[in-house]
Amino acid sequence: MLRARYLIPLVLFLVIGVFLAIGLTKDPSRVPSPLIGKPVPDFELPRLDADASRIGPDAMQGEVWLLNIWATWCVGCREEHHVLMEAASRDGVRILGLDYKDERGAALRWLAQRGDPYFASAFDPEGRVGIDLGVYGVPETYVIDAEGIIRHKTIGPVSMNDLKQEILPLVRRLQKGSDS
Amino acid sequence: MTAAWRAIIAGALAAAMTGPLIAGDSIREFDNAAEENRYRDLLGELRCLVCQNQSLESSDAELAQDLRNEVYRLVVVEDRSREEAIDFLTQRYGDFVLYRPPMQPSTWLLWFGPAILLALGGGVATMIVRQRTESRPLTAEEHKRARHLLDSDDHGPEAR
Repeated sequence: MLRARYLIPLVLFLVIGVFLAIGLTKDPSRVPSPLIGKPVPDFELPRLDADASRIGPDAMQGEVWLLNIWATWCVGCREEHHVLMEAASRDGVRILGLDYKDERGAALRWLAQRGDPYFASAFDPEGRVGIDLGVYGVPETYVIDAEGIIRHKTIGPVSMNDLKQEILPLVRRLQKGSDS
Repeated sequence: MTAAWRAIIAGALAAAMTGPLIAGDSIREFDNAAEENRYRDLLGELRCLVCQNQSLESSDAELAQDLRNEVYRLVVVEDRSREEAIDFLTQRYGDFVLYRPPMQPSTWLLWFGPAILLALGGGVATMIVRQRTESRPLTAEEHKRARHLLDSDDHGPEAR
């Protein structure tokens, strides 16, 4: 009876320890998006490469696609660039870019020098569309299904691992779903 | 005009000029005090997602500036209510932007946890205190030991 009482602090310690250990594995800078499972916010922005024509999610209707928010000032975008290149060229994933709070000249130079993984890039110098998408840490990458529903969001650079383990399998699964 | 006055005016002018520059925002205009209060009040309640321990009011992150502009547009230019502005932001950024989390089943522990812990701790503490202060007559054996201790010349361990 007395012994059991002495075990209470140990049990409490273990419970708190487990919770804290779980907490340590989570990154507080990755805020879950409330937009997952919801339709992608509609927008129409000038194309980066042609100011007169406009581009938005409408152009991707009926396809499974990625929306990638990028900018030339963003260090993480450099890191993930080769991953996007591979996704586009080898895996044939369609990626719509959103050039966020950037300068057109610098952005066009970046694509010319490093390669352009995007089907097209929309140009959002003021970041208005960014706010509608809940963007707060560039780069961000959304997986959007054929119905225009956001299925997944990666905050921060997409690693080769993210692409192979998460994004590609999800894209393939969604593509199969829309075929049948 | 004395030199002292000149210094005061120069100082005031310098302060007026640097103020808006430090804030990094355009100067806000309000039609009335209620509008301004609503705006200021909201900024204090909303979290900047980039530097998460700062409110939109205190953060100088670029996103915080953009969101201040949004809040200004919503409550001042479009004259929307506080709730509408909060809805606008939570739809995009989630409940995380709110410093005051909404009351819902997933946050009950957060809201009521401290009160429950306090009640539990208070309960345990009263139990312990009661147990300790509980008085009962000494048994004959205890009485003898107490008498022996009081009568002995021994003044504690250090005296030995």
